[in-house]
Amino acid sequence: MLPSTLRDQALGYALLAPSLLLLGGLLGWPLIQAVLLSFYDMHPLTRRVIYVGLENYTDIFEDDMFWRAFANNFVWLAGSLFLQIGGGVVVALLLNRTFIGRGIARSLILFPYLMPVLVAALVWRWMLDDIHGIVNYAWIGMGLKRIDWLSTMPNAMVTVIVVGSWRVFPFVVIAVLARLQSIPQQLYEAAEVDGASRWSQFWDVTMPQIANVLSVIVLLRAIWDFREFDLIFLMTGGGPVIGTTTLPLLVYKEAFELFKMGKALAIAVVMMLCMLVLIAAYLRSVRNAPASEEIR
Amino acid sequence: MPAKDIVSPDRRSLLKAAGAAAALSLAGRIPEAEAQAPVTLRAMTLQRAPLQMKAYEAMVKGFEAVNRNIKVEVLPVSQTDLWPKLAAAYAGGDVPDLVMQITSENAVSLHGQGLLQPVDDVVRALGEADFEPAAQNLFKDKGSYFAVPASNNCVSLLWYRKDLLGEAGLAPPQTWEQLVNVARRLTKGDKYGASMPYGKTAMTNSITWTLVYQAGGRIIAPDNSVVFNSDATVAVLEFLKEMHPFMPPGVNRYDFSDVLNAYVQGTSATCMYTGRAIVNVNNENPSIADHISCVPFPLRSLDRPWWSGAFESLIVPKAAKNAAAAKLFAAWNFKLDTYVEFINATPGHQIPMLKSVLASPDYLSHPLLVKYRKELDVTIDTLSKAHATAKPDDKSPLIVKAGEIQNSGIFAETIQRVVIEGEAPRRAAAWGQDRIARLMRG
Repeated sequence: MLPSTLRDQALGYALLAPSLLLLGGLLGWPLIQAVLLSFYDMHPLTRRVIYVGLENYTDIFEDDMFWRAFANNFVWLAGSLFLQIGGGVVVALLLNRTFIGRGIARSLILFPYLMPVLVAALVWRWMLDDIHGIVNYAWIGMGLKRIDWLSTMPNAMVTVIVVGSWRVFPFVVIAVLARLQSIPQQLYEAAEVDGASRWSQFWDVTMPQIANVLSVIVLLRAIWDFREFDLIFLMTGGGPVIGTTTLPLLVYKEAFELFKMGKALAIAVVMMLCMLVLIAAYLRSVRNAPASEEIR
Repeated sequence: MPAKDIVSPDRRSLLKAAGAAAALSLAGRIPEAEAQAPVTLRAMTLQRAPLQMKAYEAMVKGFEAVNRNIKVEVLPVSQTDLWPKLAAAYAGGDVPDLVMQITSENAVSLHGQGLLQPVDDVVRALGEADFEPAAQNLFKDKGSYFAVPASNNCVSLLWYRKDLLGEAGLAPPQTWEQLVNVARRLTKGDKYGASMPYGKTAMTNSITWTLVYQAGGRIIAPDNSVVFNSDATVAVLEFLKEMHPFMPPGVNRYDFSDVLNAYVQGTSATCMYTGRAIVNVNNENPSIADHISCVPFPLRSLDRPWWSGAFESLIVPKAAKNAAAAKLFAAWNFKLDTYVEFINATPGHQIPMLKSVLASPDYLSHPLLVKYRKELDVTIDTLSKAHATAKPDDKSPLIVKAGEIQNSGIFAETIQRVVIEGEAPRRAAAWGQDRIARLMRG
């Protein structure tokens, strides 16, 4: 008869098995299939499949469109992170102060995050319309020249970054605000006794306290934003020319406009490798994060 | 239950309609198993304006009343979404049984990939000789029809404002050079001379064929080689660049609806569009309804006329699960009353492909067609000389990758490289040539 520890372990694995099998089937198999098909030339309608080895990979690395999309991806990522994190921290600090209507303000701030991306994109496209949009109307009203927000560069990239950041910055606000509320008030009182200015209090008390939360948020948002597709697709379609075409849009273009499914999957695999680096950094950051007691 | 029994006894009342008669003649060919089992027919359509969808409702209602075992689901899809939706449908093994009003280059591409069933039985049941000769020539390949010609529309029209051209002492343009002059003269402040597409959109990709053919060029030569990088393409790019300052500011994103809206709202004095301008102006801006008219889209050179028609058709994919029922409904599409209702849901936009309907009072008596008879005649006359982009003349072979080329977005990107990024037309044409060649190799 097996010792009880072994029996417990076996039971544990037996209980885990259905979940692991389900996960393997739902996540693992499509992933393996995607990697395998990246070595093939496949037509999505005829389902014709021809083995081409590494040709799809050599093709994408020799294609200037891939490198432009790769660069665009990082411009989009850097711009979005900067605005989301910067804006999110500022708004969280404001909402952490006491003022009349704070509860309502905290609720309203969630609004962009709750809005479906399709609605957000359509509303912004409407507001930014060249002729009838309220943004240009106000802009011209201030005596400024009409601006083509979405169909010239760098306007299009700047606009999608601003709209994308507007949509998700409440996530940063919520996470940072939660951490701000748990910072002991005594730390600020001690800093004040030591004659620290507001600015010093922010850098020497607040920032160290929220640093861990911020690093996790930055990595999570980087992972999510790196594969952003819908907002950019809906707002610019990747244009003008390929000015806002990021890697996910290039995957779509190769798969559904050019019918190069294998090449699209090769790009997706490269994207996945980039994201694995970010995910590894995230896991490392979470593992190394000191407990809140240690910070205090 | 015998196959003929799926048609109800009151069918005799429908026999006046050609489509119904054809449907009845096809009904006998439905396999017994398919006739007995309840069938849900999934019919995708690319014409999806509210009134068109209403016309489909009437068409489906009549069809279901006669064929009680068949339910029809009409699935509207945009031109831009067609390929992604079809790819997803094929991947999921859930291919539509029928695709309605698909434009010719897409039908040709699907045929080129061997994905379509022959539909000779439907065409013959409807009366082959009644279809426009150009449509017969286009959809008949190696003696067999791969699509049923359904209706046509002519984007090779230039709609203009009679009042604005008259005030400026201008005649409707006949050449590109005259169009540039008209557009320049009529651009003042927030009013623009023209509206054409420059976006990464279906319309930009669609009209590029027309302009290149008008300039005497080709995209694909009869021997299937890519010949996009030509003097003709360079001329097209230069023409579009010259026109660009006379277009509304957001034109770099314009698709079909934006191009038309600019004209309908009075922002632009001219626009390149189909007869849909008639109904949109009358519904949305009746104040200019008495001032609109159209001419065939101007040519680069008067001695080289070329205009395009959409040549929309009905196709039955090989992978359709209910092919026989799909053919029955395809034939039913031509039942006179609902066919005319569908065509006249957008009067002047959809033009019947059956000669008998084109001449029938049922079709011509629509009040807007009576009012704009001159414009309708221009449209019909232009279409009678028009060709499909996938077969630029009667003798050329089908361009079997026309759909892929059009949907690739290569045309629009080539244009944007010149107009937005300031790239030299020759260099952009070479880039486009390289991209199309890659596409053709796949």
